[in-house]
Amino acid sequence: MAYEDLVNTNKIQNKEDVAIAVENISKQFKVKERSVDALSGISAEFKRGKLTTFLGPSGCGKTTLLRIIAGFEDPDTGDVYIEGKNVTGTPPNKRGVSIIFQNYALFPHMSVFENIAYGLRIKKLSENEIRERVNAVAGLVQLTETELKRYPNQLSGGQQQRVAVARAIVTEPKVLLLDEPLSNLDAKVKEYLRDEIRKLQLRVGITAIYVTHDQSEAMAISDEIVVLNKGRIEQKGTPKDIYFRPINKYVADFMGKANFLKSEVKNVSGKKVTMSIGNKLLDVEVNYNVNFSPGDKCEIVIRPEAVKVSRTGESQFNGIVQKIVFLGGMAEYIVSLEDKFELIVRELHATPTELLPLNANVGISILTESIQILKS
Amino acid sequence: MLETLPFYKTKRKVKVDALILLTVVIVFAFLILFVLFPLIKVAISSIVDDQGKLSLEGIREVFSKGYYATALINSFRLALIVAAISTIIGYIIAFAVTRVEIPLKGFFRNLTIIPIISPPFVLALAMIFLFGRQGLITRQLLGIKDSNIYGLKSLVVVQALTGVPIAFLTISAMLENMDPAVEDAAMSLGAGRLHIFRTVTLPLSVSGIASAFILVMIESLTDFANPVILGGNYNVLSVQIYSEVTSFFNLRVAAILSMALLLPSLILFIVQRYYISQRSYVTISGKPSYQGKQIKDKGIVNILFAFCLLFALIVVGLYGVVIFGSFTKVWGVNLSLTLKHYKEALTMGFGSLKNSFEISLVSAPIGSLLGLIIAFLTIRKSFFGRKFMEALSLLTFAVPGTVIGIGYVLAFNKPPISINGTALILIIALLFRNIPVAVESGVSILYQIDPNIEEASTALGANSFTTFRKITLPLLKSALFSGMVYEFVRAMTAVSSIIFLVSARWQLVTVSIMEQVEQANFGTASAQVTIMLIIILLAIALMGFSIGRFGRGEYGL
Repeated sequence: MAYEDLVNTNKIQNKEDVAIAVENISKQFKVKERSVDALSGISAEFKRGKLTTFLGPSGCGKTTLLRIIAGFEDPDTGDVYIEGKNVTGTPPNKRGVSIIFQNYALFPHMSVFENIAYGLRIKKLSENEIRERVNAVAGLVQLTETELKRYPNQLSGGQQQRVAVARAIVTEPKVLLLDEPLSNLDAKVKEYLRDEIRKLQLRVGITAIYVTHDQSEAMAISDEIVVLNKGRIEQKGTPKDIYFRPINKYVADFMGKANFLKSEVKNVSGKKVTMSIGNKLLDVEVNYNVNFSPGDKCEIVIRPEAVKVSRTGESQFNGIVQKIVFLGGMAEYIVSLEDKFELIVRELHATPTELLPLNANVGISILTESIQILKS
Repeated sequence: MLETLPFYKTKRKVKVDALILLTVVIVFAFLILFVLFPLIKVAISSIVDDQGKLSLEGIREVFSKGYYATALINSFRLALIVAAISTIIGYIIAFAVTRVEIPLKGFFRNLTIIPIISPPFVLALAMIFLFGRQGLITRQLLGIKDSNIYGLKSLVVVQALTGVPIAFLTISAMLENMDPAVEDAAMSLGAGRLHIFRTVTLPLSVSGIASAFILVMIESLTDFANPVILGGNYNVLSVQIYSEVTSFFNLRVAAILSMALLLPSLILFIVQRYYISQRSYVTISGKPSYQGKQIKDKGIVNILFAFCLLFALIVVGLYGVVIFGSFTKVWGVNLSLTLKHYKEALTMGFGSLKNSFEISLVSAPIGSLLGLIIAFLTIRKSFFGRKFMEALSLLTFAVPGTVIGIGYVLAFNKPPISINGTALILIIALLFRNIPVAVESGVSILYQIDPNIEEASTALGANSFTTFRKITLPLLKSALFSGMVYEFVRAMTAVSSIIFLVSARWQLVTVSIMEQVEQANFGTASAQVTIMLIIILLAIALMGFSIGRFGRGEYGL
């Protein structure tokens, strides 16, 4: 595998498995006479039955890409394929795609039942069948009989969210699109519903695309993550890959806290690469094919949890605790090492006494397995 | 530990500060004296007999005469027809402009504002020029010699043309604020355009439609300028009130008729404001997160564009006819060009034009400032009677101008306040007549300022007055100025509220135009109207210029 292939580690071998594909999608928006590239030349394929997340900061183009797949925006160039069929130019109501909006977009003048039944009525199903299917899906998302009779404004945010999900899946669409569906909810409800959505998606086996700016939400829910930035795909891969094997600093930084250390390749032997850190050397085992040669300037990415702190004795490095951020079950330390660089370290602790005091002398060792080397 | 911090030592009780309290009292005094008191005078006059005793005899007497009952019925029949037509047309144009990718959207939007700021009598004059006895279409084109333009049909046409913009503004605001995701959701569930319109858009617009309908109805009920010119034998209440006062000097009958006009308008207004708009599904706070997809289907685009264009051409055409008419010798007889009407308008009619200009110039800034202060008090402060102040300040919107006029005549013709026949009464009448608009615009601009900004100023030690002067007012400078221009225009174009208040010394241009029309001096009237139009357009251009200069972009509001 070449270095560039990390961009798309999960290239789908079997074309039969592709549920959605976008090809060379570009889109510009006019903002006050100025053209802004919302998307530039996006190509990607998404597997059937899987949940893929578009992840990125606001303005990265993730929602635009979703709306292009749904058919609410037309791309300037490029094509959208759903189940092998080119649907570019097909109106949204003919694509067999359901969408769940950030604010749920429930019909405020209809009861919950009528909201869910809306798509079925368009399909002109019999009244009996409509009742059956609405009730079935209501059970699936845990909406009660009484809640079905209510109006959207009488429901809590979480309940409205369930209605939106029910309304979207009751028509058995080929694809389910979710546009930041949890961003209006409290942290606790959010986590719960996130897991519910995932469970439901696995149970129904529907192809889903999920847009979010929250990287932990993305990692928790996805089969695959597409990291977007400034209208381009930075990386596409499983949550594990994206977190542990980011291909560039942007992805590494976006996915979570990380230490970025300037470094240089000193020696390469097989899969073992020797890197310099300050005036010490570190052997890193790389299990992916990257061509490094001695003298390459690199940056190494070390996640805070990949650094182990020992209270006693000698270690790879010695350091002093400069700052403590207490985070509940975990603490974050800024440790200055003798070579005049600082490391962010995270450690779980079960008892209060495990917390390190300020200015403690500690030994530091780095789990080389989780180190990622980025070429400068 | 907290006690040791310096700012906790100077513990102050939270109370409405004295300045605010004083302002509240003054504002209430003004509103009660110049809004409520005149109306109470009208109400009392309608239920008191000549000896000053309480008596409903007058009311019974008036409505036992078929003549007055007919006027009442006529007013309502006209209002209902006009409201229905205007709302339908307004809805179609609003839908086209907000949902469909038609060309010239900006033009249509701007055009709809014209009949609202226009001088009075333009449309009535245009109707006379086109369909009257010497009408371009009736006489010249169709050869009809005794065309009778006066009556219900003409009133419907001109009032509907004025009503469409009102309906348009109400409905388009609602359509714009409707979350496009709701329609998108329907579409993603498989619904076609027509189905979405029928099951989502239309049901969600019901409150907007009802609001528009009622607002146009009120506009029609309270309209005086059009029916006084075009009404003919179709007698309506506002004109009947006028005749009672000017021809028969019968103030009591006028007061009774005023109540018959006032109460329904008031009820409609209350229903619209406190019932319908509260039940809207569309939240007016904040724009939706994204623009909905515009309808591009060729068929829909073409039909709606043609419709909007036709409406635009009619409006522009009617204004064009009047401007053209102001330059022709004798309409329908001798169409050769002349400036004699302008000479007439600027010599004989100069005094009234100057009066109108000066009085509007005085009343507009005071009115806007007062409106802004009332808006500031009612939405940012809490004090006893806040709701009452809001209601009082919006009351005159639903009060027909003629009723205000009668009220002022009754209230201010003898000591302690005897100001009939002065410029002061005109200024005050116009100021309080337009106060609802000033308050509404004040409210809408205040919503643009985060209250936290004002609270930050208070937290830094400023009192209410300092905060208003140093923070709120500068931020609203340009908005306040556009408010003033609008007030100025409304004052210039007012007819019904000042018709009883003008005097030989203080004649106003709109009344002078009305007299010209009544004497069939259509040329002079057209010239006067055109001059007014130019003044208004200049005022608006000035506003546009100043907003561009030190306007909106300045603070990123």
